[in-house]
Amino acid sequence: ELKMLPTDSKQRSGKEKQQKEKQSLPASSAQEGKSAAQLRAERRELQERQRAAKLQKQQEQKQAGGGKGGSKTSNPSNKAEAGSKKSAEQKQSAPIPTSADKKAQSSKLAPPGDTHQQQQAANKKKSPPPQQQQQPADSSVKSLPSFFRHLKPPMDAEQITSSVYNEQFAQSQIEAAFVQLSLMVAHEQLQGPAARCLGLARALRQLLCTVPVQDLPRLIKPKLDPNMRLLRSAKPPTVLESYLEQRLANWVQSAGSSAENSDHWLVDRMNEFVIEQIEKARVTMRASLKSKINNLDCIMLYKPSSLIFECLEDIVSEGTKMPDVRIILLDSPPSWEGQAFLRRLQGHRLLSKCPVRYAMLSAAPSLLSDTSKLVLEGQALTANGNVLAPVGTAYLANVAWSHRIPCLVLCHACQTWDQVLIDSVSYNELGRVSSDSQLCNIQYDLTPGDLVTALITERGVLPCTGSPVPSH
Amino acid sequence: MQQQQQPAAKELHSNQLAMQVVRRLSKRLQKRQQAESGATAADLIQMVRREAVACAGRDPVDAVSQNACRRVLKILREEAVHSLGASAQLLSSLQNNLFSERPIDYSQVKADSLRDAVSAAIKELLLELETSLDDLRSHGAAHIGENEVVLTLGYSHSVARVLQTAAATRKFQVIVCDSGPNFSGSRMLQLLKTVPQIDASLITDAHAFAVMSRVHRCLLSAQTVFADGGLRAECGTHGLLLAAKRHSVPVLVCTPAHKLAPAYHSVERANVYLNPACLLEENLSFAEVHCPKYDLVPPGLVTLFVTNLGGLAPAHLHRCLAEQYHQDDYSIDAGEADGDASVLDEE
Repeated sequence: ELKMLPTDSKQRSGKEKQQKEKQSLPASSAQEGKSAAQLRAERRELQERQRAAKLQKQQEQKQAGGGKGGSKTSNPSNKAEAGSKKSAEQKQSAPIPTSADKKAQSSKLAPPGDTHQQQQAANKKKSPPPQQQQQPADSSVKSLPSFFRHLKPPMDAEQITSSVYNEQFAQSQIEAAFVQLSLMVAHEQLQGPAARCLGLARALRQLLCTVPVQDLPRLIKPKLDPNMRLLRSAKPPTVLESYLEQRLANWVQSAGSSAENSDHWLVDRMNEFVIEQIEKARVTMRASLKSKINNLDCIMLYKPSSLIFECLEDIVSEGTKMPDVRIILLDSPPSWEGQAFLRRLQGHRLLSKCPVRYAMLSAAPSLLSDTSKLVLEGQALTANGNVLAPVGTAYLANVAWSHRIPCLVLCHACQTWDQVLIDSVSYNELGRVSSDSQLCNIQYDLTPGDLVTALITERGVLPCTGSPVPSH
Repeated sequence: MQQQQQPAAKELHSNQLAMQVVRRLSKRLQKRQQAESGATAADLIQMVRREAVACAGRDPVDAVSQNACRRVLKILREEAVHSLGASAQLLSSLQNNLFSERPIDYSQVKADSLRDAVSAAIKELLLELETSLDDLRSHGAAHIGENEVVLTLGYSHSVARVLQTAAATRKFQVIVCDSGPNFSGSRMLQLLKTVPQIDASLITDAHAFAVMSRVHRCLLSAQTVFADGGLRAECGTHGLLLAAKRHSVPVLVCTPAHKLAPAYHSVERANVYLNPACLLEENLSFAEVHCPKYDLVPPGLVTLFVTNLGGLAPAHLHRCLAEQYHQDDYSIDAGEADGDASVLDEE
């Protein structure tokens, strides 16, 4: 789709250019008072140039069909313009002139100018914008290491809305709640392991309200499928989300006759799930974590979520029993979640009891002599006992292990996964980066189980080998 | 988040800095010799040692200037011994250091007799310093193979040279780690993107453990190399080396030999702490910000030191030290006499 656009605009702008050239020629000749011979020479030159431009366009179309992309197609139009206007200002070049293009150029055409001139010309011309838009897409794919190129680039809002339109064209209805959720997920506005699951539960509740109870078992799947497809296309599901989906399917299957069930039985079941598995679990985990933190401890945090924030509040409200807990907060670009945590702490009463130190993740080894324990949050526990967590967790766990600092990972019991992973490469997600950044932003990494001292779940404090083995 | 660009105020490479110091010293030596007719070698040595102390005082983190002074001192001492008409037994060697009893009296040697020999030796030293970075890259490029994935951290002139040399004959991938608070990785990426055979990409150091299972080599640089194999290097190096150790990835540290300091690693070595404003905005300044520029990496994490004199195992660093500097100059303290401490002490 993207690749077709430049050629279209090229043809359009080519025609415009030809019209402009035709218009400008008589004007210039009138002003400069050239002789008939000079005019004829100019026209011949123009014809030759147009022929060359047309040939190049045909070549580019073949190449664009092969999937090379915009930078080459914008070349001939720029050079044709440069030739036709015959002034030094109009020197243009594609940002990446390739050797193939240089061969296709005629010797008369202007050499590549510098970026200032290109910007000036870009303000005047219509063709450069599609070429510049293409560039970030190309460069972001190129900047990935080869072993990450199987990952899908993150979707943005336009792509989601276009897939919504596609689905609706195929006559399946998408709930507004799901569209909103997909947009939030795609823009990474939901931080923390349980946030996406809660978002899914909320959206599901809205969906279920639209379906009459009697028809639920029959209608739920066809209703749900297009919505889940949209959500999946934004980002692959987290473990908690897949768990919720699975339970939903189980409930629907195991539902008896509709007479037995109350009007909102499915919604009730779901609310129960959220309360049991997520909210009550959080309370239990907070209590567990608190029991592991002693007086005079210095806790190192990395990408802490609201769960840890609430636990810290619990500790501080303990009062005289635990007066002296210090926090070291680590941060890393591009998400800067440590700074978000600091903003939450700003002006909070926590600070009076709990001094905070802030540092980049790279400074972690120098701070470990001060640290008592490391508290991290996990996204999933793989079937072979490794922890999938936000990127940087494995780095930090390794550093802590080398310095003999205990590493505690908070994880819901239902975050256990039946996938088996041994490194961070086979399963991962690409995150967003700003358009001018060349950073390759991976979302997750795998912490080997032996680097984790203890896994704090609502069912207890376990070693990483305590993951349930899936029965085959 | 704003990333602070270091002001581009005529960045000196380490060998240029060393050459500056050596030239300055050689001028001062000549002046001293001309001015004072009765100058002895001991006076010259004292003068250079004081200069070394002054260098340390100016910038405690900079080991290169001090090392350059030590090289000049070695030249002075050796030439003094030569001119004493001494036989081979007085020349420094491993055996002789153990058994020789007689200390050398430098005040017996007149400075005039040293002049020509010293200036010739200093010329050689300057030549060696000038070509050090070029010599380094051929030694380093041999360790990178075809289609290998090389991980590097931040911007380093030596590493860039090595990678460019290797890319002349083979294709490989480079993953550049960008680590705070220096964030010099994008500069390295821009440079590497211009090299045709290198497929370069940029990650943050948080990703270092995640990608390490796919990496074949780690190629890094250091600001200073300590005598036991420890390093003072860009912040983020320590975590990266720990990840490399976990995955058994060979780590090559490319440094010219004039960065090798005759001191042991300690976490209390000098470090530079950057302005927290480069990381945090004003209103978040209630947090105490820990923002070191360098990491002090303990020994045991580096596989090979690639220097302009060739590849050097960490266990053989002491040999390189012994060849470069005289043992009496290992320790240069402020306010000292002509110390003969052979114990490796503070810088």
